[in-house]
Amino acid sequence: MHNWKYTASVIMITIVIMAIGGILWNSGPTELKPDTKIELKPDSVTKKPISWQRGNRDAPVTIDEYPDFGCHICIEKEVMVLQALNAYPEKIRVIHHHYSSSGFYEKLAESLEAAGEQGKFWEFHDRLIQKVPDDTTSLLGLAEDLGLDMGRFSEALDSGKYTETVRKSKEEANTQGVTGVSMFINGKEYEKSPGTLEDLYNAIDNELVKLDTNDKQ
Amino acid sequence: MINNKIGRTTAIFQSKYPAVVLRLLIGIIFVFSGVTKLPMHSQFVTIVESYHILPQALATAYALALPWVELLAGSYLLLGVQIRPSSLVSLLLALSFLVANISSAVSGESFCGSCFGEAIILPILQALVLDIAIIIATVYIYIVGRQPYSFDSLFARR
Repeated sequence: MHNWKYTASVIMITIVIMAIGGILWNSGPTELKPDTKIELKPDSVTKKPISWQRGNRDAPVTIDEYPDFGCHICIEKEVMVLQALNAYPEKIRVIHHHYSSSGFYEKLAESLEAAGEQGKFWEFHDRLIQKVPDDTTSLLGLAEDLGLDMGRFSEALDSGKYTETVRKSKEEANTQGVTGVSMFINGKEYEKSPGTLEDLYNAIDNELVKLDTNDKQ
Repeated sequence: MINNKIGRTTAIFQSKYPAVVLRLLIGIIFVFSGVTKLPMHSQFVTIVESYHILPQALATAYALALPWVELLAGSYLLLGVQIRPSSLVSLLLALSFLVANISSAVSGESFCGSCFGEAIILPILQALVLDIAIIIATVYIYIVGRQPYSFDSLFARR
């Protein structure tokens, strides 16, 4: 079997496979830059009973996000939404719903509420998605860096003050048919997971074009 | 009775057709997995690094090499080229996925969002079952060795 014809054929097959791989590699997306500094207007923060929103309240495009902080794809989507908010400051509104799985990731969702209690929900959120803490020490470090009142923050986490809020948010999402890692643009599920930044911009542009066309009609 | 059981077990290993079907299935899974990860580039590196299982340099190397190894091993299995070495590589890959998914499950994660690049998000339990199934299948393919309907058998006949 190990004759030169066999070896040559295997080499040829390998070259063809690598060439196909090369084409796929080059078809890759524009790189995400999770470290991009994004300035957002703090006055655009509002809270509904169990969801938080920011952006232009009268924006034509609403993005409902249901991130599980234990899911890498969700975090990538979150980073892209953050970039989209910067790119379309007047056109989009983002609503955050807690959808974290149990254990430490549920605590991360609770920590957002604890930061929100001190008026820093989105600031904490944006830092958290840059580098998701993997233990309580790094979570507390993140809160401390943001200048939160650590006594209040720890107390909120330790007492389970927001456990029910976070669970209720997830339950509500489940009853609405959210099955996890979902994101909705004007009520329609955004199916990329996570897709590229261009995909997200295209989806937003499509919504804007659709609304523009409807207005003209 | 025991002899019958042994006979049946031996027959399964002697009949190579189940192994052919498994080889094609595992090949398709790995090709699909590699194809979905290849365009992800540094996104996939970030994902692997965030598992915090490997040191950063090793995680980067693993993440960059993984889609290529998956594509090659999967294609080799699909075509029936170097079946034993390919099944061994696939087994090692599946073991590494199992370790990663166990670590995710232990830390409370509910989904494997990176198992098949951006294409499919598997619940963590399904991902674990799939990993174990792939491990069993690749061991079986390795034991059976040379198979019909393969590139290697084509050359063996000549």
